[in-house]
Amino acid sequence: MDMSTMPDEIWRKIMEMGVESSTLSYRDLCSLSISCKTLNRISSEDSLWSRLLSLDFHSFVPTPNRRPKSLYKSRFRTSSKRDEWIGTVCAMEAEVIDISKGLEPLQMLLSKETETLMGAVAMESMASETVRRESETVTVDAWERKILPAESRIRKLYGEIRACKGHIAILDELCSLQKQKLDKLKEDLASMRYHPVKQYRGQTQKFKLRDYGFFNRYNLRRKGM
Amino acid sequence: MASPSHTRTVTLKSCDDVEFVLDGSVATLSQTLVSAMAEDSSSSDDGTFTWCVSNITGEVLAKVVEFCNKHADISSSRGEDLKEWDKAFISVELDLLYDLILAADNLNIESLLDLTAQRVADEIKGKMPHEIRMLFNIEKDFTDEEEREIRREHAWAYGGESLKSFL
Repeated sequence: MDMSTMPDEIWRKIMEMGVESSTLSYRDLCSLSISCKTLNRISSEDSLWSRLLSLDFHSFVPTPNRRPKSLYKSRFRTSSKRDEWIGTVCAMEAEVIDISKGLEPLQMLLSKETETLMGAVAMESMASETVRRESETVTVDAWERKILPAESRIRKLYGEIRACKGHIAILDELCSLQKQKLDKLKEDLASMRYHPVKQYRGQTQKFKLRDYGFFNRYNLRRKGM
Repeated sequence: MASPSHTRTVTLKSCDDVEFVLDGSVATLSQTLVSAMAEDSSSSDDGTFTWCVSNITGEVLAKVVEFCNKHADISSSRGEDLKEWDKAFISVELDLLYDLILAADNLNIESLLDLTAQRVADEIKGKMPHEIRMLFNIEKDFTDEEEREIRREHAWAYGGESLKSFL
């Protein structure tokens, strides 16, 4: 899609709709500003920021000689709005930790089940080998002493293997659901923690959660250290 | 004297010569068509009106016509159901979305313009500047110096200052 050729009034419409429906925040308008000259011009327009001012700070009084965007910036600095960001980031990091912790026992169960499965498979092949070997010299004695018990063992092992595979399938699905949730959350967090100046050079590299001391300190605080 | 627009039949023709026949009442969703029909005194009173949309393909026009038919049908156009329908309707690839916006703008269909604009806003939400560039295929047109400056100017919105004071 080549949106760069889209007429200004359509971009304006998109931003107006976005602000009005609270889809686009001050932050999104700023990201639009950073992306190119045209979008910078349109996303800085007074009407958008006036609307945002009255939506975010209800007691907004227009100030003469001051552009709404710069007014928003100074209102923002003295408001609790900047704390909202910290709150959201903290909550998201806490959730990342919770999901990661929840994944541990699931993964342990999964590896235990996998071990059981491998044991059962090995025993099954040993029993089958016995049946194969002994049935070459079928005597009544061999039949009663070795083949019969081996066959019943094989049947039992088959049941075990089936059950194991069932458990593994369920655990696998649970794990991958949680992992998907975790990945999405980490992505959202990276976008929340994005900083246009700090991340100017390394734009394409993904933000790692542990890159900032923030995460570790928060983690330690949770552990009461 | 041409008949009132809502009683006429309108034929829409796409740039690749695909034709769509609409009821006059459906066509009134498009302000462009309403104005064109009002100005049109040449056509006969047999109730047909043909309009060529030079830059919209048949594929896109089909979607537009689908939208207009749904929204003009008053019996089905109520509240939550219509919202659900709109949501499914607008779940399209970005390329088609782009064409739909241009078509809505060209034909001046307000409800479709609102719907498409909101969908683009949804796409922008939470994206970082380089992701916005990628999404819309936008060339970076700032010089390095300008880019550094614009980033500095907007740093306030990204919690950079709060982060420092919090730690």
